[in-house]
Amino acid sequence: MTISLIAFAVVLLITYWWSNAGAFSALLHLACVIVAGAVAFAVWEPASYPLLSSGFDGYARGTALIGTFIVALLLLRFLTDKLVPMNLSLPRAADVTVGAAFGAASGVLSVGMLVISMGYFQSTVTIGDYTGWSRRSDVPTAPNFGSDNAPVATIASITAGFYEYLSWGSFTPWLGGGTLATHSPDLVRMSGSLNRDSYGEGLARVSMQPEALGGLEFLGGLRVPLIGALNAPEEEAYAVSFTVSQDGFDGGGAQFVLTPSQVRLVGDSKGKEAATAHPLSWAQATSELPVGVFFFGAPSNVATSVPARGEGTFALFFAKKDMDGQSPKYVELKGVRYALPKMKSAEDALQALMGGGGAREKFQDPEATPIDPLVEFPDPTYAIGGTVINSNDKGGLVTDTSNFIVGGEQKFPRNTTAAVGADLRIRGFQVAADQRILRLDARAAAGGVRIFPDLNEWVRSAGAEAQDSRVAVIDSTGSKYYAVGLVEDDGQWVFVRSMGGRPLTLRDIPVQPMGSDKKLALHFRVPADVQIVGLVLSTPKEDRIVNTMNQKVPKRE
Amino acid sequence: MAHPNHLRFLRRAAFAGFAVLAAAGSAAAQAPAAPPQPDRSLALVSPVGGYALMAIATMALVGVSLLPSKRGHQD
Repeated sequence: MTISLIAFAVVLLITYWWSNAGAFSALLHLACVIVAGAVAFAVWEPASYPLLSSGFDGYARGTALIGTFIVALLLLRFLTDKLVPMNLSLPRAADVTVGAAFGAASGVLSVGMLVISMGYFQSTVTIGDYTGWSRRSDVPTAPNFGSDNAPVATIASITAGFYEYLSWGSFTPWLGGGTLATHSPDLVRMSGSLNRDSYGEGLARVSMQPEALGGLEFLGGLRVPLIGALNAPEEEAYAVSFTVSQDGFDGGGAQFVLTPSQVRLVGDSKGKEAATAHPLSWAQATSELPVGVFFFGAPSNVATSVPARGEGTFALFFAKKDMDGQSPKYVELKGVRYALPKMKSAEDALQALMGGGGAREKFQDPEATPIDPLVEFPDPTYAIGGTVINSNDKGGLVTDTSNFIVGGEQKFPRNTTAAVGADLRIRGFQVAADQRILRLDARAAAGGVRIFPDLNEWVRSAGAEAQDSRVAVIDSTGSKYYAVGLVEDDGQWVFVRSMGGRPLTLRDIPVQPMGSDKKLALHFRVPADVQIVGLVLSTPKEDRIVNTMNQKVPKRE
Repeated sequence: MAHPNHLRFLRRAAFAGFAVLAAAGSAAAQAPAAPPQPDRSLALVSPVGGYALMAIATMALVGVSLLPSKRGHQD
């Protein structure tokens, strides 16, 4: 109730202010608010997309909406105050009463814009005592959504409804051919608070870089069980499958985590309010199975990639009946709206499987050389090598609470004997309990890793494509594990660079002159017990195996 | 020899096909398996930045909403 009371107090304050200023000024302010809100919704997506690809992605959509609204309102107010400097004389009672009415309308719309925007800031699901719509354990059926019916949601609903109405009429966008109701249906439900309803009470990421998702496929004409129960009936369903790369993962690139709140199909409404559907079940690989099917039947059930793998592939299943007869047009995933490709039948997908034999796309370089002697699995407790770093002197490195490196970079003087207490010592690149660090001696030398122009014709000739390729090790099942960081040691200085969740590319590796004394170690996070078979340079087109290995990752002691 | 792009599609289509088969074939007949859970040590995002932005946005909105118009009276 506290958040609702604050919201109503702000509305009352704005009402009182414009009641005092008089009806004419209040009317002009209301006009400015209406136009500023329309401008903010109109440029919301284009303004937020560049921010989604930055480190500010968790706040991109909220900042773009409220930022545009405030800037537009400020400019419009400046213009109207300059162009219309004089007031109209009305009887005092009428001036105050009508001014209060216009002020109240401005207050509701302004606070509504604020509440909708706040729903798109990365924070907790519950803000103060306001939760709104979220997964709830007292709602028995998937996707378990329920609401606490907080009064503040009413203000947001009035605002969203007003702009949905406007965007159908005189404020219809010239471009795009859609309205707020066709492109962002159920806006209030998403902003309060399904968009923030991520794993860990909303503290897992609520957004991701649009380019982190690939391989989007849309399947229809399916009949599958959507309820996790014995002998559950088969229902008509749609499926959306996609692959997320490490850039879109949580925990600094550790794992991808997705709740049913964070993804939905949006229908092709032909001008009406678009229907939406959240997934009821999903399929994914696990550590044990190539594909397992699971159900969003409990709030704790979330889709999550296999630890340490650099990519996660998922298929989400939606009930066809939830779409109210509309054909799905978009899939919205962690705040990013993707146009669905042409629908394929499951038979088409299986046909393709039969024809292709399930071949894995890769390029086996005929000059690939074995590099097993260059591989080691150091004790992850202290796995930097070359220097001992005090956490009080870590410079630009970012560490977690256990002093594992999760981001940043810094150059340190080489020393291996400094006395630093265990609780202050920087350990190495972050790993989970069941993972190991694979450290690869990647110095530029003949017979070594073939990632340098002097040792690999493709790297020399492919230019930017090669420089943008991601460095990974690949296991016997084809799963890739991207490099999480590097350590360069020139004998005097040790340079430590963590990728902070972004896969390491060749461009991230400092220049390595052939035959120099510089040492370079690439660090990969790998799960125990997998069989690593090669070093790959991964481009959007293919995985190029440039060196071979035969390394079973040992269990952590 | 580089594998052509369509093999990448095939792999994805294969996953989707397998997923559909698995969903249709096995899930109805047996009790649902518990899904894998995220690693317990998964680093989560601090909510402080979001709260700070909310406070800033609220103050900015109140500020711009209460800008005086200073409109004079017509004679």
